[in-house]
Amino acid sequence: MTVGMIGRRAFLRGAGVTFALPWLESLMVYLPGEQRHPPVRMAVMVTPNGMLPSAWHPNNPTRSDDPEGKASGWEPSFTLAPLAARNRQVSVLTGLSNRQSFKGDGHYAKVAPLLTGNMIRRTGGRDLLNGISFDQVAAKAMGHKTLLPSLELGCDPIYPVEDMGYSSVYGGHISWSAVDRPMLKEIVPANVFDRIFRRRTAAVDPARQSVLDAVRRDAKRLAGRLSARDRNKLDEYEEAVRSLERRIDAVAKDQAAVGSPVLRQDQRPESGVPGDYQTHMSLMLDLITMAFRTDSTRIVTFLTGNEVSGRNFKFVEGCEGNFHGFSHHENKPEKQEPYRRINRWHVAQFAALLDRLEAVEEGEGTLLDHSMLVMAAAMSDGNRHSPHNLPVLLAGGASGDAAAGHILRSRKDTPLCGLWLAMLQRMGVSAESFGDATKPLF
Amino acid sequence: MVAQSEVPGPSVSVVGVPDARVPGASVPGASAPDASAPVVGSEVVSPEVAIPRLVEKHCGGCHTGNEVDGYDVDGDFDIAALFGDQATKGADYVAQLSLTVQRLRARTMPPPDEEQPSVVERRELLALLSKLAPSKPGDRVATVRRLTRRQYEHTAGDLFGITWRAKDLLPEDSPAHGFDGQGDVQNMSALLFEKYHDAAAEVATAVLADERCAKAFAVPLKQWLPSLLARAFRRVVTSEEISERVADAAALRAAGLTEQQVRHAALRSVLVSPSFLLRVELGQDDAPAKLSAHELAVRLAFMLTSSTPDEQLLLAAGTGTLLDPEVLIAEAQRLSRARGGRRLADDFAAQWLGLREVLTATADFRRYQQIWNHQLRPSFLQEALHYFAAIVGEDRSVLELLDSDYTFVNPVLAKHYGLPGVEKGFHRVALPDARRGGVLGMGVMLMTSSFPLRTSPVKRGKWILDKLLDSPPPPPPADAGTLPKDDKPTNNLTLRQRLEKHRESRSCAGCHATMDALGFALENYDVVGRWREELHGTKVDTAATLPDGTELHGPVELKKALVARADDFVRALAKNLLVYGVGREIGMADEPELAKIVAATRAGGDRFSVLLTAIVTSPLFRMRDPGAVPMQVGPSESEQREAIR
Repeated sequence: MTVGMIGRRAFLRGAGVTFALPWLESLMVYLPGEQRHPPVRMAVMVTPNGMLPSAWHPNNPTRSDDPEGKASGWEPSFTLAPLAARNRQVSVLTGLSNRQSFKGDGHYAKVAPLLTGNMIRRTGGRDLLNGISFDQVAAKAMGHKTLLPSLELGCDPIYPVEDMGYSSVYGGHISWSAVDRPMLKEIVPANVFDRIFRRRTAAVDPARQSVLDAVRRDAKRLAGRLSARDRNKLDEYEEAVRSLERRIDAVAKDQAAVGSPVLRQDQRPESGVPGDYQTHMSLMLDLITMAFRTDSTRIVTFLTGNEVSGRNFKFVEGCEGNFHGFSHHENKPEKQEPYRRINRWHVAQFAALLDRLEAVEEGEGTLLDHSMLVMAAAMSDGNRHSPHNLPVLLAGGASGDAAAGHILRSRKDTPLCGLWLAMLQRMGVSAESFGDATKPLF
Repeated sequence: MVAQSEVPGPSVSVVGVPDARVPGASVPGASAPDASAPVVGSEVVSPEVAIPRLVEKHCGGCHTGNEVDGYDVDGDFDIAALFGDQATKGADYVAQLSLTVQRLRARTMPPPDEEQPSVVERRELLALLSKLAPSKPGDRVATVRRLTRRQYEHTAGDLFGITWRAKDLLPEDSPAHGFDGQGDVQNMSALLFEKYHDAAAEVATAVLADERCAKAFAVPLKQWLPSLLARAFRRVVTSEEISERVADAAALRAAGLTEQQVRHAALRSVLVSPSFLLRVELGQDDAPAKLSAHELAVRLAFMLTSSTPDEQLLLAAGTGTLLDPEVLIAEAQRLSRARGGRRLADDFAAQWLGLREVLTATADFRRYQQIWNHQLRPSFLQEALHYFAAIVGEDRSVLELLDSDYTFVNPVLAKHYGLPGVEKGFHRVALPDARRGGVLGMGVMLMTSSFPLRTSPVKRGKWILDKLLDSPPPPPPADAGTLPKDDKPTNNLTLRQRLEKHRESRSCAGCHATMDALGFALENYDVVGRWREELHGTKVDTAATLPDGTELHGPVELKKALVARADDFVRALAKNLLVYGVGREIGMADEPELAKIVAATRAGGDRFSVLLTAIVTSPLFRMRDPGAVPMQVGPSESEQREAIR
C-alpha cells in the first residue's frame, strides 16, 4: 500500500508508513466475509456567506443522442470550473431549500438549522433551540462502530458577536447532538491528528478508570441538588464522561485486534492554528482523508468558515478585502467578481478532497467510491441572504447514480432534508423521515 | 414580586388606571372591549386599553397601528398593544417591548423632528415600559457556569503556584451578551471533556514537577486531600468525598502504582470533576434564593480576579462572615485592587470594550506606515488596560473612562500621539490639551472602528452606542448598501455627503442620525488614531447635531456630551459588570435594581468603589434568584424552589 497521495504535507511525509492501519489491513482479516465490504463514509462541507447564483449554475450540454439532457455530464459554470474534470462524478442539486430557515433574519438563522431542518429560536443565549443534525442521528445509530462516532471540524474559533439577536453559538456550529447542544468543532489540525491517531497507541493509563469513576461519583452527588436547567448541563457532563469511556474501550479492543499500529510523531502537524488559511484548509482535507482511510470515523462535518466570515482571501487574485463585504455585492460587478472567485476557491477545495479520497485504494475501488460527499452553503445569494435554491453538490460512489454527474432539478423549495434523509438511509440508518422530508431525495 | 402564574406580570390597571385615557378619546386600531377592562369608578374604560399619559403623549401620536402620514415606518405598531391583555404576552410581545425600550433608550425615538421628552420623562417612560416585562420563575437565575479558559489558567496557577497556559489544549469560549463564561451557551461535549482530561494530566504533571509543590506532598495523602479538595471545589467538602478519594488512592497503590502516580491520579480526578470545572449555585440550605457564603465568595473572586477564591476569602466564606455586608464590601474592594486592578481590566474591560480586537485590526500599510511598527497595536491595547486598571486600583471616577486629563503611554505611543517622550515601559502622563484622555481618544477604540483606508463614523458611532451607552442600534437590513472603502472623494461625493444621502431614507435616518453624529465628532482622529486637521487637502468637518439637539464640534464636545449622559454610561458599565459577574443576561426585570445601583454610584461621586459596593450588595449579585424577593406573601421557600425546577 502507499500513502503517496497525501505525501505533500509535512506530517504525511514518509510514504509506506502507516499511522493507524487503514480499514482493510486493520480489520478485514479478522472479520467474517459478509462484513468485509468497505463501509460507507459521509462528509458534509459547508462554506459561509452563500454562492453567487449567476456564477454557480451549470448547463446541461445538449447532445444529439440525448435531447432531454438526461445523460450525465454538465458544462461547468464559472464557480464550478474546478470540477470540470469531474462533471460525470459530481451532481449539482437545484431547487433545494430549508423551509425552517425562511423566517429568521441574518446568517445564523440559516446556517445553524442547515443540517437539522429545524427552526432555531432567536435568543442571545438562554434556551438555545435547534434540532438534532442528521450527522448526529447517524452518529447515534452507528457511531459505536468506529473510534470516533463523528468528527466535527472547522477553521474558525467562535465569533464573539450575535447576529440579529441570534447567539454566536448558532453561527459557529452545524452539528447538533441535541436541540440545545452544539458539537464543539476542532479547529487545530494537530489536535485532530492526536485525536485520531495518538490515542490508538496511547500508553495504557492504569489510573484512568479510577479518575473517571471519581468524576462520575462527584457528578451523581451534585445531580440530585440541581435545578432542571442545571441538571441538563450536568447530563451533558455525564454523557461526555461515558463517551470518553466508550472510546477507551474501543481503543483497547482495537489494539487487541490488530496490535499496536505504527505512529510517527514527526508526522504530526505543527501545533496551533496555521496562520495561512490555504495550509489550514489543506491539512483539514488531509485529516478527513486519513480519518476515513483508517476508519476512525465514518461521519465528518466541516464548517470551512463561520457564517458572516470577513476573511481576507487576498491569496486569490483580485480578492483582497472582506468576504462578507463582497457577498453583499449590491449587483455591482466589482464586488460580484471577488465574491464568485472566493466561491470558486471553495469549490476547488471540495475538488481537492475528492482527489485525495480517490487516491486511496480500498478493496476493489477507492475511498471515493465508498463515500458520500456534500458541499453546501446555507444561503444562495449572500446579497439578500436568500435561503432558496441552495447551492449543493453531491459526489462519491456511495451516493450511487445520484452523484453521477447530473443536474438534479427539484421543484422550487423542495426540502433539503430529503438529501439528508437519503444519506442517512445509505449509511444504513433506518429512518422514515427527517426534518420536513418524508421521502429521500435519491 | 412573587411570580407564580405561568406568565405573570403587573396587571394593566396597576400601570394604567391613574393615567387612564379619557373614555371616548378614540385610538384607531385599539383592541375591542373585553370583560377584563379596567374600571374607573363605575365606568368601564373601554374599548381602549389604558395607557399612561406620558406614553400617550410621546408615542401615541404615530404608533396607532395605522399608518399616519408615513410616520410609523412599518405602519403596524400600536403602542396600546404593549398595555393589552396579559395573555397575549408571547415572544412577539417581548420582542416588541424590548425594541420599544431600546429605541427610547437610544434616543432614536421619538424621532428628531418630534418633541423630545425631558431627561426625567425619558427615565419615567423607561421605568413604565420595563415594568411590563413578563417574567417566569427562574428567568433571573443564572445557568450553571463552567470555568472559562482564562479562569482555568488562573485557577490552576493560583491553586498550585505554577504558571500554566492552555495554548491549544482548551478551545475559545462561546460568549453571550458580550462575555464568555455565560452558562447558557456553555456546553460539555465529548470533545471538550477529552480536552479537560488532557489539560488535567498536563497540570498534574506540572504540579508534581514543581519543587515548591513537592513540599505539599511530603504530607500523607490523607492530610493533603482535605485542603486540596476544599480549595479546588471552593466549598465545604464532606468527609465522604475525602474518604472516597483516599480509598481510590489505596486501590491504586494496591494495584502497584507508585506514590507519584497515585498523586497524579488524585490531582486529575479533582481537575476534571464537575465540582471543580462547574460553578454550581444552589443557594443557602434554608433559603435557596440567597447565595451561600461560599457561592458569594466564588462570584466575587471570579468577577474580580478571574480566578478561584484565595485563602482569606475562603476563610470569610467558611466562617460565614462574608454574608455580613461590611465584610463583603471590604473583600470586594480588596480583590478588585489586587494586582492593581489588572485582572478586571484584562478580562472584563477587554471583553466589554472589545479591546483585543485591535491586535487583528488592519490599516493600509502604504498610507499608514506606522503599522510597520509591530509594537503599535499591542501598545494601544496596553494603554487601555493600564487606564482601566488605574481607575479600579486607585478608586477613581468611572467617568474618567469618558474624559480625563491623563493617559498611559510608552515610548511608541508618546511618539504616535505627539506627546513628550517617556522612558521604556508605560507611564501615566498629563495631557497638554483635551484631545486625548478617555477611551475615545485611544488608538484601541479609534483603530478598531476604522477600515484600512478610511475611518468609519458609522462604526465609531455604533461603538459608542453599543459599549458606552448600552443602546445598540438594530442591525442594518441585508440590502442596506455599503460605502466606498477609501475616503478619497469619488464622484465628487465625500463620505459625509454619502451618509447624508443615506439618511434621506427615513428608515435609515432613525439610527444613523445618532450614529453618524457621534462618529463625525471623532473625525479628527485618523485610521490609526492620530490627530488630523485635514483630510485629502480639505479641513476635517466634525460638526454634527444629535437628535436631541446637542451640537457637537469635535471630540472635546463629544466627550462633554457623553459626560452629560453619565447616568446612561454608568448604567451601561454596571449592567456589563453584572452580566460578567452574575453570568446571565440582565434584562428588563432587572432594571429597577440596576437603577438603584446607578443612583448610588452617581451619589457617591462615580467612584469605582462606590459602583462596586452597590453591585455586590445588590440582590442582583447576592441572590441566586432576585425574582424570588420579597418572600413574605409567597409560597414557602421549598415550594418556590420546586417551581424553579
